[in-house]
Amino acid sequence: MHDIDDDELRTLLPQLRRFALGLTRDAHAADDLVQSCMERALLKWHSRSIGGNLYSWLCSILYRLFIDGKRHSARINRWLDCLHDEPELAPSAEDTLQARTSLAALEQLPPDQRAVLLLVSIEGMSYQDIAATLDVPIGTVMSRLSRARKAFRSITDGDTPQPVLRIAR
Amino acid sequence: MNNLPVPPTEEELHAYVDGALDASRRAEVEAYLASHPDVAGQVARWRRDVDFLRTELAGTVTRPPQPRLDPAAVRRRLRARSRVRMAAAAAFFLAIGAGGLSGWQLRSMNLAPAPMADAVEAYRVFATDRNRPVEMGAENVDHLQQWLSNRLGTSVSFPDLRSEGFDLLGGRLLATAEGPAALIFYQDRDGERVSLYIRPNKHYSEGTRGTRNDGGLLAKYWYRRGYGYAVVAKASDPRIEELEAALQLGS
Repeated sequence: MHDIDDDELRTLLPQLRRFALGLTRDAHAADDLVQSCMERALLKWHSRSIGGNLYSWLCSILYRLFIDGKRHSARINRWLDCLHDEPELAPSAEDTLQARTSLAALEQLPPDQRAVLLLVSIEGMSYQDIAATLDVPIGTVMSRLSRARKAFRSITDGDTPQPVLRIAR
Repeated sequence: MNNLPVPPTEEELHAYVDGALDASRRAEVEAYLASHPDVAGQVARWRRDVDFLRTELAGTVTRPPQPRLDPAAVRRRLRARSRVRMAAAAAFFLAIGAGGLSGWQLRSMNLAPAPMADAVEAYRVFATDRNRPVEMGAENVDHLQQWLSNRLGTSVSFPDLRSEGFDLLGGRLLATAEGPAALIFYQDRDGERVSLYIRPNKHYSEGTRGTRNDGGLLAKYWYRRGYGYAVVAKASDPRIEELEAALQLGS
């Protein structure tokens, strides 16, 4: 019975990693996030709604973990800033990629807007599913989408200066 | 053009971009856009952004698989983890537990450790030690700094975190397979501790970094100039109440 579940999860894994990468913009952080998500999902496996959308259930777990981690790392980031005697750091492969593709615009969006934009654009989820995944009313999804699209537009148009590369975010 | 359709709301324009309108309304919106080039231009730009994001992230679906993310591996780890707890209990109370424990150790050796797993473990072991978390206290900072720098072969500095409410507690030297590592603790007035861990790095590429939530602890790590650095703190910091509530979500 585990085999059937595992196959189902395995099929969704690449998509889930893509969503995580879109959220975190860092390959390692993304896979750490997916790992925590998989652990959480398997521990709560019995409590998922049978017949519901497994992928959006996984996305909702992953998004909550992401937001929790974000909240907590805000504090740690302040320490990190103190710990870095030299602010310059060799940009990681992800940073280079970002600079090249201007996907960095995504990173400048607040996480809640980023999540909506990713779920709509990349995952092709319906507004209804997104509302369920993020546990917000559909009106909130619409207003986040609207703000996200406008912000993304103005960032890629160059209205906002690109931030310098830094380790703490 | 007097019988123009009702102008679409902004929500409808988004729904149009995302293919969420029904056929009849879609046709009306299309007719409206045909006669309003400025709105049509905006819609076209949104659509380009969707395509851009889609193509940029499309390649990431084919990233090489990570064995540690495979459901079977995750299950194995979850089982191993609950086994650790049982094994720890058994080791305390039953000598017979030893056989099972070594069996578990063998199996866990097959799993690649997560980056900076030792930093998290070091926190777990020493942060809870009320009497002797550090080998050398902060009384003689210069000496401590010199000692750890010499043993690690890199300059170890202790940033001042007093403005954050944390005092330097001290440090200790630890051993890893790659050489000496340093564990440095800070402590706040309530006794909450946060650690900085520095170890030699031979496996991860320069600039690699990440965050991991590992069994109640949060680690942020990065690799630079041949060394790995990690900051570890409790994920359930009582000062962050909403975090605590959110963490209970999954349990």
